[in-house]
Amino acid sequence: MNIESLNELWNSSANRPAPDAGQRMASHFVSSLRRRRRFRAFWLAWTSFLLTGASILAVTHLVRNGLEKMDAQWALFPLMALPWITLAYFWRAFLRHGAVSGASALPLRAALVAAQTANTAERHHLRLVGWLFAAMVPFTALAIWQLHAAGKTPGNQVWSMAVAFGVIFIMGALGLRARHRRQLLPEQLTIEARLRELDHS
Amino acid sequence: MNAAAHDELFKSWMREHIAILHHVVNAFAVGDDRNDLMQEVMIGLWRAVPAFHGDSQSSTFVYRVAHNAALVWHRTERKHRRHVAIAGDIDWMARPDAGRSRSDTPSRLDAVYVAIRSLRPIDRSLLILSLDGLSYREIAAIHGLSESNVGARLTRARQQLAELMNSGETS
Repeated sequence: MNIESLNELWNSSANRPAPDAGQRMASHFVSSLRRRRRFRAFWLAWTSFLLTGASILAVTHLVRNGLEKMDAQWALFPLMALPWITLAYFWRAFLRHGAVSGASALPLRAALVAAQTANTAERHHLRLVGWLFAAMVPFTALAIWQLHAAGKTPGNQVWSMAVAFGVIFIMGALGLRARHRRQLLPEQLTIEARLRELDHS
Repeated sequence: MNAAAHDELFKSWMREHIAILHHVVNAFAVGDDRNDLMQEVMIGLWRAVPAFHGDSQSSTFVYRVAHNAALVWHRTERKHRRHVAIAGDIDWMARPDAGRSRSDTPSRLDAVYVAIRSLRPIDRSLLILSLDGLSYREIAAIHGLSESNVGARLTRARQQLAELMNSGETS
Protein backbone atom coordinates (compact mmCIF):
# COMPACT_ATOMS: atom_id res chain seq x y z
CA MET A 1 0.00 0.00 0.00
CA ASN A 2 1.47 3.37 -0.99
CA ILE A 3 1.11 6.63 0.90
CA GLU A 4 -1.65 7.99 -1.39
CA SER A 5 -3.89 4.97 -0.90
CA LEU A 6 -3.14 5.03 2.83
CA ASN A 7 -4.21 8.68 3.04
CA GLU A 8 -7.30 7.95 0.99
CA LEU A 9 -8.20 5.07 3.29
CA TRP A 10 -7.49 7.15 6.40
CA ASN A 11 -9.75 9.96 5.22
CA SER A 12 -12.54 7.66 4.08
CA SER A 13 -15.98 7.75 5.71
CA ALA A 14 -15.18 4.43 7.40
CA ASN A 15 -12.62 6.24 9.52
CA ARG A 16 -14.60 9.42 10.19
CA PRO A 17 -17.62 9.28 12.50
CA ALA A 18 -20.44 11.71 11.81
CA PRO A 19 -20.43 14.85 14.00
CA ASP A 20 -23.86 14.04 15.47
CA ALA A 21 -22.37 10.79 16.82
CA GLY A 22 -19.90 12.86 18.82
CA GLN A 23 -22.76 15.07 20.01
CA ARG A 24 -24.75 12.03 21.16
CA MET A 25 -21.79 10.57 23.01
CA ALA A 26 -21.07 13.90 24.68
CA SER A 27 -24.70 14.30 25.83
CA HIS A 28 -24.74 10.76 27.20
CA PHE A 29 -21.38 11.27 28.92
CA VAL A 30 -22.28 14.62 30.48
CA SER A 31 -25.61 13.41 31.85
CA SER A 32 -23.98 10.23 33.26
CA LEU A 33 -21.19 12.23 34.85
CA ARG A 34 -23.52 14.78 36.42
CA ARG A 35 -25.86 12.04 37.69
CA ARG A 36 -22.97 10.16 39.28
CA ARG A 37 -21.58 13.30 40.91
CA ARG A 38 -25.00 14.21 42.28
CA PHE A 39 -25.37 10.72 43.75
CA ARG A 40 -21.90 10.84 45.32
CA ALA A 41 -22.47 14.34 46.69
CA PHE A 42 -25.76 13.21 48.23
CA TRP A 43 -24.16 10.10 49.73
CA LEU A 44 -21.25 12.07 51.20
CA ALA A 45 -23.51 14.83 52.55
CA TRP A 46 -25.85 12.28 54.15
CA THR A 47 -22.93 10.35 55.72
CA SER A 48 -21.41 13.61 56.98
CA PHE A 49 -24.76 14.56 58.49
CA LEU A 50 -25.12 11.20 60.28
CA LEU A 51 -21.54 11.25 61.51
CA THR A 52 -21.89 14.82 62.78
CA GLY A 53 -25.04 13.79 64.64
CA ALA A 54 -23.30 10.78 66.18
CA SER A 55 -20.30 12.91 67.17
CA ILE A 56 -22.50 15.57 68.78
CA LEU A 57 -24.35 12.86 70.73
CA ALA A 58 -21.06 11.36 71.91
CA VAL A 59 -19.63 14.70 73.02
CA THR A 60 -22.92 15.65 74.74
CA HIS A 61 -22.84 12.34 76.56
CA LEU A 62 -19.28 13.01 77.72
CA VAL A 63 -20.10 16.53 78.91
CA ARG A 64 -23.22 15.35 80.77
CA ASN A 65 -21.21 12.65 82.54
CA GLY A 66 -18.76 15.30 83.66
CA LEU A 67 -15.51 16.22 82.01
CA GLU A 68 -13.60 15.03 85.10
CA LYS A 69 -14.42 11.47 84.00
CA MET A 70 -12.70 12.09 80.70
CA ASP A 71 -9.68 10.00 81.67
CA ALA A 72 -11.96 6.95 81.69
CA GLN A 73 -13.70 7.78 78.41
CA TRP A 74 -10.96 9.11 76.12
CA ALA A 75 -11.27 5.97 73.99
CA LEU A 76 -14.35 7.40 72.34
CA PHE A 77 -12.26 9.98 70.47
CA PRO A 78 -9.97 7.61 68.56
CA LEU A 79 -12.97 5.42 67.77
CA MET A 80 -14.76 8.46 66.33
CA ALA A 81 -11.65 9.62 64.51
CA LEU A 82 -11.54 6.60 62.19
CA PRO A 83 -14.86 7.24 60.38
CA TRP A 84 -14.03 10.96 60.16
CA ILE A 85 -10.67 10.24 58.55
CA THR A 86 -12.31 7.84 56.11
CA LEU A 87 -15.00 10.38 55.27
CA ALA A 88 -12.40 13.11 54.73
CA TYR A 89 -10.59 10.77 52.34
CA PHE A 90 -13.76 10.22 50.31
CA TRP A 91 -14.55 13.97 50.25
CA ARG A 92 -11.04 14.69 49.05
CA ALA A 93 -11.36 12.13 46.25
CA PHE A 94 -14.76 13.56 45.30
CA LEU A 95 -13.53 17.15 45.15
CA ARG A 96 -10.33 16.25 43.32
CA HIS A 97 -12.21 14.30 40.67
CA GLY A 98 -14.16 17.41 39.72
CA ALA A 99 -11.11 19.66 39.77
CA VAL A 100 -9.80 21.37 36.65
CA SER A 101 -6.83 19.59 35.15
CA GLY A 102 -4.99 21.62 32.56
CA ALA A 103 -1.89 19.42 32.73
CA SER A 104 -3.33 17.06 30.13
CA ALA A 105 -3.30 19.93 27.60
CA LEU A 106 0.42 20.59 28.01
CA PRO A 107 3.01 19.51 25.44
CA LEU A 108 3.92 15.84 25.82
CA ARG A 109 7.04 16.04 28.00
CA ALA A 110 5.51 18.61 30.36
CA ALA A 111 2.31 16.55 30.55
CA LEU A 112 4.29 13.39 31.32
CA VAL A 113 6.33 15.15 34.00
CA ALA A 114 3.13 16.58 35.52
CA ALA A 115 1.53 13.12 35.46
CA GLN A 116 4.64 11.64 37.07
CA THR A 117 4.62 14.30 39.81
CA ALA A 118 0.92 13.69 40.47
CA ASN A 119 1.50 9.93 40.55
CA THR A 120 4.40 10.28 43.02
CA ALA A 121 2.33 12.59 45.25
CA GLU A 122 -0.59 10.17 45.15
CA ARG A 123 1.61 7.20 46.07
CA HIS A 124 3.17 9.22 48.88
CA HIS A 125 -0.29 10.14 50.12
CA LEU A 126 -1.42 6.51 49.91
CA ARG A 127 1.64 5.42 51.92
CA LEU A 128 0.79 8.03 54.54
CA VAL A 129 -2.79 6.76 54.79
CA GLY A 130 -1.41 3.21 55.04
CA TRP A 131 0.82 4.18 57.98
CA LEU A 132 -2.10 5.94 59.59
CA PHE A 133 -4.16 2.78 59.23
CA ALA A 134 -1.34 0.71 60.73
CA ALA A 135 -1.02 3.13 63.65
CA MET A 136 -4.77 3.03 64.25
CA VAL A 137 -4.85 -0.77 64.72
CA PRO A 138 -3.15 -0.95 68.15
CA PHE A 139 -4.71 2.38 69.13
CA THR A 140 -8.21 1.09 68.36
CA ALA A 141 -7.55 -2.15 70.21
CA LEU A 142 -6.40 -0.12 73.21
CA ALA A 143 -9.46 2.11 72.94
CA ILE A 144 -11.86 -0.87 72.89
CA TRP A 145 -10.08 -2.42 75.84
CA GLN A 146 -10.23 0.90 77.71
CA LEU A 147 -13.97 1.27 77.10
CA HIS A 148 -14.46 -2.27 78.43
CA ALA A 149 -12.27 -1.55 81.46
CA ALA A 150 -14.25 1.63 82.19
CA GLY A 151 -17.47 -0.40 82.15
CA LYS A 152 -18.81 1.29 79.03
CA THR A 153 -18.79 -1.83 76.89
CA PRO A 154 -19.95 -5.29 78.02
CA GLY A 155 -17.79 -8.30 77.14
CA ASN A 156 -19.96 -9.55 74.24
CA GLN A 157 -19.93 -6.09 72.63
CA VAL A 158 -16.14 -5.92 72.84
CA TRP A 159 -15.88 -8.80 70.37
CA SER A 160 -18.48 -7.29 68.06
CA MET A 161 -16.56 -4.00 68.04
CA ALA A 162 -13.26 -5.76 67.48
CA VAL A 163 -14.67 -7.71 64.53
CA ALA A 164 -16.34 -4.62 63.03
CA PHE A 165 -13.18 -2.52 63.25
CA GLY A 166 -11.08 -5.46 62.06
CA VAL A 167 -13.24 -5.77 58.95
CA ILE A 168 -12.96 -2.02 58.34
CA PHE A 169 -9.17 -2.14 58.65
CA ILE A 170 -8.82 -5.15 56.38
CA MET A 171 -11.12 -3.69 53.71
CA GLY A 172 -9.34 -0.34 53.90
CA ALA A 173 -5.92 -1.98 53.59
CA LEU A 174 -7.07 -4.08 50.63
CA GLY A 175 -8.48 -0.97 48.96
CA LEU A 176 -5.21 0.92 49.42
CA ARG A 177 -3.20 -2.02 48.14
CA ALA A 178 -5.42 -2.44 45.09
CA ARG A 179 -5.17 1.23 44.21
CA HIS A 180 -1.40 1.14 44.49
CA ARG A 181 -0.79 -2.10 42.62
CA ARG A 182 -3.49 -1.97 39.99
CA GLN A 183 -3.58 1.73 39.19
CA LEU A 184 -0.72 3.86 40.46
CA LEU A 185 2.15 1.44 39.88
CA PRO A 186 1.20 0.53 36.26
CA GLU A 187 0.62 4.22 35.58
CA GLN A 188 4.07 5.07 36.93
CA LEU A 189 5.67 2.37 34.76
CA THR A 190 3.80 3.63 31.69
CA ILE A 191 4.90 7.22 32.28
CA GLU A 192 8.51 6.17 32.79
CA ALA A 193 8.42 4.13 29.59
CA ARG A 194 7.06 7.11 27.62
CA LEU A 195 9.72 9.44 29.03
CA ARG A 196 12.43 6.93 28.07
CA GLU A 197 10.94 6.67 24.60
CA LEU A 198 10.86 10.44 24.32
CA ASP A 199 14.53 10.70 25.28
CA HIS A 200 15.49 7.98 22.82
CA SER A 201 15.08 9.82 19.52
CA MET B 1 -16.76 29.14 33.44
CA ASN B 2 -20.24 28.09 34.53
CA ALA B 3 -21.62 24.56 34.17
CA ALA B 4 -23.75 25.34 31.11
CA ALA B 5 -20.85 26.94 29.21
CA HIS B 6 -18.63 24.02 30.24
CA ASP B 7 -21.16 21.49 28.89
CA GLU B 8 -21.69 23.45 25.70
CA LEU B 9 -17.98 23.80 24.89
CA PHE B 10 -17.37 20.12 25.61
CA LYS B 11 -20.26 19.07 23.38
CA SER B 12 -19.16 21.35 20.57
CA TRP B 13 -15.63 19.90 20.70
CA MET B 14 -17.02 16.39 20.68
CA ARG B 15 -19.13 17.26 17.64
CA GLU B 16 -16.30 18.95 15.73
CA HIS B 17 -13.39 16.74 16.72
CA ILE B 18 -14.91 13.30 17.13
CA ALA B 19 -12.64 11.98 14.36
CA ILE B 20 -9.56 12.92 16.41
CA LEU B 21 -10.83 10.82 19.30
CA HIS B 22 -11.85 8.00 17.01
CA HIS B 23 -8.37 7.77 15.47
CA VAL B 24 -6.57 7.91 18.82
CA VAL B 25 -8.81 5.34 20.47
CA ASN B 26 -8.50 2.84 17.63
CA ALA B 27 -4.72 3.34 17.40
CA PHE B 28 -4.11 2.75 21.12
CA ALA B 29 -6.74 0.23 22.14
CA VAL B 30 -8.49 -2.76 20.70
CA GLY B 31 -11.85 -4.46 21.29
CA ASP B 32 -13.70 -3.51 24.46
CA ASP B 33 -10.67 -1.56 25.70
CA ARG B 34 -11.66 1.17 23.24
CA ASN B 35 -14.60 2.03 25.50
CA ASP B 36 -12.22 2.32 28.42
CA LEU B 37 -9.78 4.55 26.56
CA MET B 38 -12.58 6.64 25.07
CA GLN B 39 -13.85 7.29 28.60
CA GLU B 40 -10.35 8.27 29.74
CA VAL B 41 -10.00 10.68 26.84
CA MET B 42 -13.45 12.15 27.41
CA ILE B 43 -12.84 12.57 31.14
CA GLY B 44 -9.49 14.23 30.39
CA LEU B 45 -11.15 16.55 27.90
CA TRP B 46 -14.01 17.30 30.26
CA ARG B 47 -11.65 18.23 33.10
CA ALA B 48 -9.42 20.28 30.80
CA VAL B 49 -12.24 22.42 29.35
CA PRO B 50 -11.85 25.28 31.91
CA ALA B 51 -8.10 25.40 31.15
CA PHE B 52 -8.81 26.39 27.54
CA HIS B 53 -8.27 30.12 27.17
CA GLY B 54 -8.41 30.34 23.40
CA ASP B 55 -4.68 31.00 22.98
CA SER B 56 -4.46 28.02 20.63
CA GLN B 57 -6.89 26.39 18.23
CA SER B 58 -9.44 24.09 19.84
CA SER B 59 -8.22 21.25 17.60
CA THR B 60 -4.66 21.65 18.96
CA PHE B 61 -6.05 21.53 22.48
CA VAL B 62 -8.13 18.43 21.76
CA TYR B 63 -5.21 16.73 20.00
CA ARG B 64 -2.98 17.31 23.03
CA VAL B 65 -5.49 16.07 25.59
CA ALA B 66 -6.46 13.03 23.52
CA HIS B 67 -2.91 11.98 22.66
CA ASN B 68 -1.57 12.62 26.17
CA ALA B 69 -4.42 10.57 27.65
CA ALA B 70 -3.77 7.72 25.23
CA LEU B 71 -0.02 7.77 25.85
CA VAL B 72 -0.36 7.33 29.61
CA TRP B 73 -3.38 5.05 29.44
CA HIS B 74 -3.06 1.53 30.75
CA ARG B 75 -5.75 -1.06 30.94
CA THR B 76 -7.16 -2.11 34.30
CA GLU B 77 -10.05 -4.50 34.83
CA ARG B 78 -11.69 -2.36 37.49
CA LYS B 79 -11.72 0.77 35.38
CA HIS B 80 -12.88 -1.23 32.40
CA ARG B 81 -15.92 -2.53 34.24
CA ARG B 82 -16.79 0.88 35.65
CA HIS B 83 -16.48 2.62 32.32
CA VAL B 84 -18.47 0.12 30.34
CA ALA B 85 -21.46 1.08 32.44
CA ILE B 86 -21.38 4.66 31.12
CA ALA B 87 -19.93 3.93 27.71
CA GLY B 88 -23.36 3.96 26.12
CA ASP B 89 -23.34 3.81 22.35
CA ILE B 90 -19.61 3.98 21.80
CA ASP B 91 -19.26 0.47 20.42
CA TRP B 92 -20.24 1.28 16.87
CA MET B 93 -17.46 3.92 16.90
CA ALA B 94 -15.09 1.18 15.90
CA ARG B 95 -16.60 1.22 12.45
CA PRO B 96 -18.71 4.30 11.69
CA ASP B 97 -20.14 2.96 8.43
CA ALA B 98 -20.77 -0.58 9.68
CA GLY B 99 -23.64 -2.10 7.78
CA ARG B 100 -23.55 0.57 5.10
CA SER B 101 -20.29 -0.15 3.35
CA ARG B 102 -20.03 -3.07 0.96
CA SER B 103 -16.41 -2.40 0.06
CA ASP B 104 -13.34 -3.92 1.67
CA THR B 105 -12.47 -0.53 3.20
CA PRO B 106 -13.29 -1.52 6.81
CA SER B 107 -11.08 -4.61 6.73
CA ARG B 108 -8.25 -2.66 5.07
CA LEU B 109 -8.66 0.00 7.73
CA ASP B 110 -8.53 -2.64 10.44
CA ALA B 111 -5.27 -3.87 8.94
CA VAL B 112 -3.86 -0.32 9.03
CA TYR B 113 -4.82 0.04 12.68
CA VAL B 114 -3.28 -3.35 13.52
CA ALA B 115 -0.04 -2.19 11.92
CA ILE B 116 -0.18 1.20 13.67
CA ARG B 117 -0.75 -0.45 17.05
CA SER B 118 2.46 -2.41 16.67
CA LEU B 119 4.54 0.79 16.47
CA ARG B 120 6.06 2.39 19.57
CA PRO B 121 3.48 4.63 21.32
CA ILE B 122 5.05 8.02 20.60
CA ASP B 123 5.80 7.10 16.98
CA ARG B 124 2.22 5.90 16.74
CA SER B 125 0.93 9.22 18.01
CA LEU B 126 3.09 11.17 15.55
CA LEU B 127 1.97 8.98 12.68
CA ILE B 128 -1.71 9.51 13.46
CA LEU B 129 -1.18 13.27 13.57
CA SER B 130 0.60 13.07 10.24
CA LEU B 131 -2.16 10.96 8.69
CA ASP B 132 -4.66 13.54 9.96
CA GLY B 133 -2.90 16.00 7.67
CA LEU B 134 -0.97 18.04 10.23
CA SER B 135 2.34 19.61 9.21
CA TYR B 136 5.63 18.91 11.01
CA ARG B 137 5.35 22.33 12.62
CA GLU B 138 1.84 21.65 13.94
CA ILE B 139 2.86 18.22 15.23
CA ALA B 140 5.95 19.73 16.88
CA ALA B 141 3.73 22.34 18.56
CA ILE B 142 1.30 19.72 19.85
CA HIS B 143 3.97 17.46 21.33
CA GLY B 144 6.56 20.09 22.22
CA LEU B 145 9.23 18.43 20.07
CA SER B 146 11.52 20.02 17.52
CA GLU B 147 10.48 19.80 13.86
CA SER B 148 13.64 17.86 13.03
CA ASN B 149 12.88 15.33 15.76
CA VAL B 150 9.33 14.95 14.47
CA GLY B 151 10.66 14.48 10.95
CA ALA B 152 13.19 11.83 11.97
CA ARG B 153 10.68 9.90 14.05
CA LEU B 154 8.01 10.08 11.35
CA THR B 155 10.37 8.85 8.65
CA ARG B 156 11.19 5.83 10.79
CA ALA B 157 7.54 5.24 11.71
CA ARG B 158 6.40 5.42 8.07
CA GLN B 159 9.07 2.91 7.05
CA GLN B 160 8.00 0.53 9.79
CA LEU B 161 4.35 0.95 8.86
CA ALA B 162 5.09 0.28 5.18
CA GLU B 163 7.05 -2.86 6.09
CA LEU B 164 4.25 -4.07 8.35
CA MET B 165 1.59 -3.37 5.71
CA ASN B 166 3.59 -5.03 2.96
CA SER B 167 4.30 -8.10 5.08
CA GLY B 168 0.59 -8.25 5.87
CA GLU B 169 -0.34 -8.04 2.18
CA THR B 170 2.12 -10.71 1.12
CA SER B 171 1.26 -13.17 3.91
